[in-house]
Amino acid sequence: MNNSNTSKKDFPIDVDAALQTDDGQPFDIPVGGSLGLLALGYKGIMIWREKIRQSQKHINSAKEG
Amino acid sequence: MKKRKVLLIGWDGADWKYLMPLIDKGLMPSLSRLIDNGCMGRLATINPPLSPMLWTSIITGKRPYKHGIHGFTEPNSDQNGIRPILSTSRTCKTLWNILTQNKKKTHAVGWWPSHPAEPINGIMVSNLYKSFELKGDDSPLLKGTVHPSSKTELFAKLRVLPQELTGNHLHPFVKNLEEIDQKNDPRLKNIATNLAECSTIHSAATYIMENEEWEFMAVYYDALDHFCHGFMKYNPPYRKHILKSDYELYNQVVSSACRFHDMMLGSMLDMVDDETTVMLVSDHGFYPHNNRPTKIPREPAGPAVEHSPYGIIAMSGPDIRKDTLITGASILDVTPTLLSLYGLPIAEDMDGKVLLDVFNVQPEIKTIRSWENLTPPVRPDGTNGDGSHASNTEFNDSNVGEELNWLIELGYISDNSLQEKETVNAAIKENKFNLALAYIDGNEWHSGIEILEKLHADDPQILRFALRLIHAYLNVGKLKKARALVQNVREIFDRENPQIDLLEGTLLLAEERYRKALKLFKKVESEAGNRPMLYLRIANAYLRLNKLDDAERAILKELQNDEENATSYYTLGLILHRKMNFEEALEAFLDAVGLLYFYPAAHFYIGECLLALGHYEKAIQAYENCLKLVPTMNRARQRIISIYETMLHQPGKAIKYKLNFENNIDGTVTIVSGLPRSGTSLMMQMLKAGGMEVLSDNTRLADESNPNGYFEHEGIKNLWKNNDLISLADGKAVKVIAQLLKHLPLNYNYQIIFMERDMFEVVRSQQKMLVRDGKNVDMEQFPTHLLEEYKKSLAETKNWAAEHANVEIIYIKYADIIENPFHQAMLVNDFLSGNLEIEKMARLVDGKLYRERSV
Repeated sequence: MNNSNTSKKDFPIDVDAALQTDDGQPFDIPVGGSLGLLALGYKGIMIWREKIRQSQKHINSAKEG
Repeated sequence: MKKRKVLLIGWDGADWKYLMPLIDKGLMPSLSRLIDNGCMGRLATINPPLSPMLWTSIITGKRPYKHGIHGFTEPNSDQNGIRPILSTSRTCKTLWNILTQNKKKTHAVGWWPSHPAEPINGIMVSNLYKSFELKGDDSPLLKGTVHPSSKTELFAKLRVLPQELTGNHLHPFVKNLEEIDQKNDPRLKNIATNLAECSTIHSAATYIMENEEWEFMAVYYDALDHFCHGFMKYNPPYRKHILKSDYELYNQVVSSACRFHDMMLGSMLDMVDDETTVMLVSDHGFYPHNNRPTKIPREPAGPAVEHSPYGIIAMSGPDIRKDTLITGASILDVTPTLLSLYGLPIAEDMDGKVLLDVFNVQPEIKTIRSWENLTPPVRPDGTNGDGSHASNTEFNDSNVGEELNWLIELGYISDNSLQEKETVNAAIKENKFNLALAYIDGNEWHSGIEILEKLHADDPQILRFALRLIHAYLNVGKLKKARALVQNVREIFDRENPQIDLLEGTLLLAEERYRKALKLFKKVESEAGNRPMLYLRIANAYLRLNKLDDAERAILKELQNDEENATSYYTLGLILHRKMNFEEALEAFLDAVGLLYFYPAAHFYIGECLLALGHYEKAIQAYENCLKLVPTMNRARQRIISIYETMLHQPGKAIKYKLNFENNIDGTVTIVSGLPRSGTSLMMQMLKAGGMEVLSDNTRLADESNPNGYFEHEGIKNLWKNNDLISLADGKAVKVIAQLLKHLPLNYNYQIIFMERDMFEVVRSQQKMLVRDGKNVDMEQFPTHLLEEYKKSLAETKNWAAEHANVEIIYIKYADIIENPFHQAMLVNDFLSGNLEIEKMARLVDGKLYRERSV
């Protein structure tokens, strides 16, 4: 089991729409995470892990490209 | 009707003393929000302040000797090693069991100890959930971590691992983290582990709160306590013995940990609606400022010296008062208060009370004898109806090492203590010691002493066993035993140990050797500096010496050091009460019970102050509070009777208390009393001749002054020090001189035969006895001052007897016995309800011994 590979189908969260700023703009998730995301609880953790996954995917495809 | 929802959050070691400055700076907005919407106060801990015991008391409402959790570890199933303490060792129901039994949807995460998880009506994630190997991120959860086990994989994925954390997470804790030499300094790793562990608990809790139906949710975070043990020493203000470089690196760790907890609290508050009651509690506090200890004792559970006696409580919800300061709350009150929120009865075998002050409208408090006997039927899946483990639950000990490693890391158990046999014995011994302290904290002194005596006998070289035993002896008035043990300890250990000096000083106070006690305390002050409770002891010495101004100065000094010590406020109250400053004394006693509600003597003195101030009804209430805590305290009952009868002129209301008085009586003692040389020995002889059993140890032998013997008991002569011995006289007759009658305990009925003799004759007879004993007495001089003293003393005794419902008294004149022994014997026989042989009593009266006759 590797927690950072947890896929979004494991948990009922719409990762892309989960976090917004006060004025309704999408919140830019830092790849390095933040205390704020941890404090959000499981949602923050899942979103952060998803961000890492996407970032990794992006790097991999850039390498391949 | 809408379902009641309660969120109970535990922050181990949280203390207003370090939280408040952060709240005031606006750095803990969520906690501020919780307080603004509800009420807050201190939550008194119980002793010993060890978290597994305390959190079990919080969730059961019972003291450790009732709930069965007595330490951090226990022997494993094979008795060849130790394991973290498990939920299977608990011997009573928790709140989640009672709620399960009442069909409430109930969840609990991380509670210490809750492994293996119990089959409650909801999800339970045990305290070993967060314990994982630091190296691998694929370590499986221990079997028994999650109930239902079908959710194990899901919760495994919700964990946050230390190695996932980045500089983004750690930088707020340590600004210059790149300066840390991580090969040699494990502290950054410890911060990461703490942070990962509490994030893990929070992750599981938030998942349940958002995805499961719930009526009760309990979440326990231990990280604040861990952060404090590791880093409070670096918290501002800077102290000289700390390395400056360490201080500069780590001085923000505790405040950052608090702020992170506030962020987690914020997200939880966002998840609940206005109809949910939220209660945030801690099990004990943590010394943050100058009273932080500079050294941690090298003994099991040594780090607990950093714990302060008051944790926190903050509460908000639909029925909870706003802007209210909760006073007198204890960790034992959490479960009773929450049960009453659900409209469920409080069990009489719980040690806590309902915190009535927190409610907008006081709920109806229902009570039952115990929840333990109400066993619901077994559920279709074979589990118990209250969600507790089946009695045959077995636990696999393997893989619990990580939790043990943490306990070693924190210093709660020693790192060489995993050596099998020795380790098992050490764990058993430690848990017995903790149990003894728990008994003592619950005023069950004799049970505590019994265990301590055994521990000390087995290990006389362990100082803390001996010190606690001395302390216990002192508190029950076993002064001879305390003195012997102090001498013994001085021989075995360092004779110049200030800890022993302090205890010996306290012993000297109890022995009424106040000046010597004061001298010893001053020695400690000059040699060892300002030690906790030193000025409290000095104040007590001055108080006994009636140097009230000195006593007041000393106690104020103690309060400057530690403003949260209930005993200091109590002592201040005693000083002010003695100064007849009843209003300020009342304030001090109220401060004492505000800190520690379980303080019967302080409640009693609140009554005394109110009585002195003429607030009779309120005084009765205070004495009532005292009786609720100690139902056998007939002194308080006596005051209530007296107020109803003589102040309020409502004798009818006194009847109930008189009846209760009787219910708390352990037996009946016949007392022969009077001034020395007033015929008390003669009366003792008469009673013996009449067939009554007398209590005498024959230490004082017959002599010329008393040719037929004294019939005394040396122990009874020390009633003022220790009145326990009176139990030996139950059903017998015993001689007690008039001046000692006021020291008789109130749990016996007394039939007192009080001998009266012409005062001039008494004094003359005493003088002659002294001469016979070879003392130098000027027979030409009559000591008139003594005569006055005796008159005063007799008047006081008569008042004392008239005021006490448990005292019946008959006054017999010595001259009348000599004159008409048969008639007087008859009177005595009638008074004692008549089974004595009157003739035998009368026959032994020898008129020749009436040698000192007034003309």
